[in-house]
Amino acid sequence: MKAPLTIRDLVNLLYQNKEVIEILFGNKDSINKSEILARGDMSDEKLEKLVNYEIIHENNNVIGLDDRITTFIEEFLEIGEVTTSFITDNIRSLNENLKYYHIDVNPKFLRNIKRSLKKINSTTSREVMKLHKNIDDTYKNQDNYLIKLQELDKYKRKRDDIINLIMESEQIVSDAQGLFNTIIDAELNSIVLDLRYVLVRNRDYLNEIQAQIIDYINKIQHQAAIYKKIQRLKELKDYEELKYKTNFVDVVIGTRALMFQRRNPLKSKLSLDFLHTDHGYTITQKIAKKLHLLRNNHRKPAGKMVAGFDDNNLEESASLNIAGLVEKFLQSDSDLFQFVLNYNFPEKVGTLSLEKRISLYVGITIDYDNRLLISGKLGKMQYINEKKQKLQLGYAIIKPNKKAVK
Amino acid sequence: MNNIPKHTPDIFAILSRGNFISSNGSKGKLFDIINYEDNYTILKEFFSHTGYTLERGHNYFYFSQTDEPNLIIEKKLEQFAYYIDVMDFFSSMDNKPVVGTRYRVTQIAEECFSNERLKQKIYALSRREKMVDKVGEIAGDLTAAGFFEQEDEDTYKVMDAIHYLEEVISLITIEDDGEQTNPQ
Repeated sequence: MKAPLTIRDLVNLLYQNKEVIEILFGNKDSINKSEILARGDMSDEKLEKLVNYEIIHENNNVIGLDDRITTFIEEFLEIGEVTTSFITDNIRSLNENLKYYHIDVNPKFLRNIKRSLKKINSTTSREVMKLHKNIDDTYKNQDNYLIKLQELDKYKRKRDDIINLIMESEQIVSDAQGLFNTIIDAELNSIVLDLRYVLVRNRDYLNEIQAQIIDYINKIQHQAAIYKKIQRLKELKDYEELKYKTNFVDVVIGTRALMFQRRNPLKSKLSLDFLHTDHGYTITQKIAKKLHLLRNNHRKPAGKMVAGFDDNNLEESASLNIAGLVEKFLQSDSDLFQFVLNYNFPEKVGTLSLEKRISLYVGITIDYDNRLLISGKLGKMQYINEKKQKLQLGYAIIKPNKKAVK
Repeated sequence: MNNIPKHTPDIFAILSRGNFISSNGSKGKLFDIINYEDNYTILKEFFSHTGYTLERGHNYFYFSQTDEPNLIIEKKLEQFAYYIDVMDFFSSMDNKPVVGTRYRVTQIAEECFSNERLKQKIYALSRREKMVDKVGEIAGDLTAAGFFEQEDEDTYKVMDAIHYLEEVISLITIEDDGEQTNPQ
């Protein structure tokens, strides 16, 4: 049972179900009843109500939007099929009303004339826009090559129809111009002027569209020729003749598009300044967490070190004043090995082991060799190591080079 | 310099990898941006400082580079020879690869089973075991080059960039050997 529906009811109904209607409009005829009912915003009663008001149709568990709603949306959004019937209707009604007005000068007919003129204006522009959109869409998105060709051909004919209708409208308006001149009505004048302007503009636009359709159709036919050529090239390739019977090599070498080159995605370094920012810090934290670098982060950083904690170390290295030691040796008359071995180092340094003294001896001979006199003689020394083994040590006897000092 | 579009980094990222920007693909928005008013001229000038030239094809854009090492030439020839094979395969089907054509991998595989000629072609093109995988592999190759775009798991759509291949192919002239004439 269908209850009478007011405009307000209809608009409300559409508004309440806006999401479902959007989906139904997008997927024409392919939505199952269960799919719609599974939505949170839809219930059995709501669906029944929509069916009752004939906003949607249910057929074999498939749900679709009522044609009137679909047409309404398409009309309004200027999508959908191009039709010339609207323009034809308006032209007919314009003709009728002009005839009536000749017979009876009645403002009612004048009102109708104005309405028809306005409508011709708007419908023509709308259909031309739709035509352009559809042609473009067909060329780019129609997925079957043969259908695409035929559809473009259809639009070509439609375009011819529209242009004929525009010429017809122009003819009617210019025939009636004498009549319009006798009617003193500012609005009528502006409507007529506007219409004439729009018709001319649309005619230009349609010429452009014509060029485009032809271009598209040519492109497709050109493509068909290319397929034949590809197959021929493939044949040559299979016979290994591609390089000899065609200029394949030259042409391909001549292509400059980047697509054939190895892809080197640009790799940039991290900005250090960025890492210092708060945002950079959170990102490094996140990555550290991922890499488990923060396992030990419960260990807080150690407190500040006590001032002068490393004074001891400083002292020792400072006390081993090798340059001073060498100066002293140069004053003496002994040989370097015995000198280093028996030298009484200051107390701060502590006692130096034999090994340390030997390395000191070696170090001095290397660093100060220009001030030393290496005689070439060898000295020998007996000593006992930590394991109580008796060992003999040979060393070069090195004397200060008295000449080099001065 | 203020007129450089906001999306220039995105555009550069795609083009510099050797990809195309086609008007009927998912990057259609970027196409519209380049195509808008005199953005093309502005961007061409802007990118010229990077050593790449922004080029316009029929409803697609790409980068070109003038000087290239010899090493690439060999790779190019090899690559293009492969495209001839692939395009030969697609143009042997009922549904030709024109802009906007949609191919379903399973459907092509079906066609290959029933058409011996196609079957031989696809066997020469891919070593994958299953027919579906074979088709998927070559469709994937064309997708990587920007001539196709994957719409869902099974569906591939032909991009405007296919014109690029066609342009190159139409440039090739075949020596008249008396057997068959060049269909041009």
